Amino acid sequence: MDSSVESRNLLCRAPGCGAPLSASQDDVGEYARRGRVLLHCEYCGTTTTFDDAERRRQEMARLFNMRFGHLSSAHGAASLDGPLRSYVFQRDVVDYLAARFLNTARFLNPVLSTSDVPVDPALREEMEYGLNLEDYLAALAVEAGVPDHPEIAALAATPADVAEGRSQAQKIRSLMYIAQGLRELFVASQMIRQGSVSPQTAQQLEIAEVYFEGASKASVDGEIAFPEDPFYPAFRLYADGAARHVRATRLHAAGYFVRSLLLESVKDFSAVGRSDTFPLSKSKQSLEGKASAEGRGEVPRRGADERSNQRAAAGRSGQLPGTSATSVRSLPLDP
Amino acid sequence: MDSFPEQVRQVSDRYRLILERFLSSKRASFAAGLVLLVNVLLLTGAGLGILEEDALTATRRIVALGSLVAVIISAALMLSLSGSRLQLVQEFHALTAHVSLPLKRRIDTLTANSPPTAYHYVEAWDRLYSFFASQISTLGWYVPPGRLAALRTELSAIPLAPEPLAGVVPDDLVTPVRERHPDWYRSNPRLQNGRTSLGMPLFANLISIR
Repeated sequence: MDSSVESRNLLCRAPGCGAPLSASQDDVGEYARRGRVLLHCEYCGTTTTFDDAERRRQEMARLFNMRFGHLSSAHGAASLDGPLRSYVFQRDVVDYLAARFLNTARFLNPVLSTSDVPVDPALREEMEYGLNLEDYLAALAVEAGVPDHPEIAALAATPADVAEGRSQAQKIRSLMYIAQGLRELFVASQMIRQGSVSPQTAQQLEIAEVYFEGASKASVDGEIAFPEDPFYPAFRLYADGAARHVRATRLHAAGYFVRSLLLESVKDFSAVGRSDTFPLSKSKQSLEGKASAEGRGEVPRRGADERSNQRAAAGRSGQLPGTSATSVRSLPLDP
Repeated sequence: MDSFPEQVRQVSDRYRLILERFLSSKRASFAAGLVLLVNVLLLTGAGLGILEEDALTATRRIVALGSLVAVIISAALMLSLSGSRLQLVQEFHALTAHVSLPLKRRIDTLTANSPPTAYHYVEAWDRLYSFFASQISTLGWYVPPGRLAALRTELSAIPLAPEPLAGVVPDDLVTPVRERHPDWYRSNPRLQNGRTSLGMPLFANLISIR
């Protein structure tokens, strides 16, 4: 008998239906091989196709749209952002966002770029990237807890996919905390510039600090769970530096000056700055590509060779790229 | 933010230097005025002698000429001193506009617009301005030397740099809390906004809400 996997989140979109969609085990296997899945509605009998490629295309279009304003101009600007264009998989988009954010944070500390410090407009634009991080992550339409979802576990081909999915989820969790912290810090900065008086401003700084601490804790958790991933130690330094700097400002507003907090903050930020450029991809090929690209002064990007290597590797493991647990998250899990 | 006390002290130093030069100018102006008065009397006396038919002796001529020169010099000196005092007042305001206010804005930013903490830093400026507005700008033409000495003593007694802020933070303040109860802020004296400027027009609006 052909058992089927019923989705709790994917609902039929036929008029007046809304029943949960289900996929047979064969379809699940097909999805693992081709990146497409045919979902059936038991109630009205209609079928719906979810295509990873189409879904990814839509998400990338949304990302481009947010980044550049209009998709038409985004195509023109895409040549300026080769790495982003080359990352066609959602999993890689998360990696890209994380790496891009850290690489930006290496030379610009958004926390330190308060209104009293003159900042070059180009750097301010980079800072806004940090402020938009939350929107980028929201555009991915993923939730941090998704990899533990039974659907993911059922659809994931190998335990490694699940592990990678968890790593990505942890990464997103850290990024979300820092993005929310930056947003709150931005609000605090606006309040200060507009003349709001402490303790309201200090309270807003405290909220940002809570998020930065959350990012730090999430990074520590990620560091313990995924010690091989270089993202977490670097990101923890950044989150710690941000939290300490905001705390120093908050305590200063309350009439306490703690020099050690500022010194530790500077130490953390300089440690991030001293660290190597965070690779835009964790893959071996990308690291090799980075070494050669650095010689040419370019940002490393995943090329066609790497994609073909991936296909070959995926073929050996019986799946195509983009069908890992995280890629499954690209399915519209929201009803 | 750790260099604020030093920056504030440097500005206060310049304020005090301006005020000291103002007082010195007043003293010199008083001396010049005294010389002018004496010589005007001498000149008047010589002039009265001229009116007498046989009084224009050689000595009287020398005294009259000397008095005339002294009157001209002391009058010029008084005018010059008056002009320099005007320049000192302009320098005082320029220092406020171009140095103090930008630094005050930076203090406001890095204290999250906390009036008590910001005022803690600029209290020296506040007192110096108060001293200028209430004691110096109201001085008349004649200032007794004793009064000048008292003013100098009072000026030198004004602390120029803020006291260091406390470094030991209460435990309940260290750990960030997303939503603190308003009573917590009311119970912390360092967070109360009761401390404001002494009322000087220059800094009052800056210290109250910026």
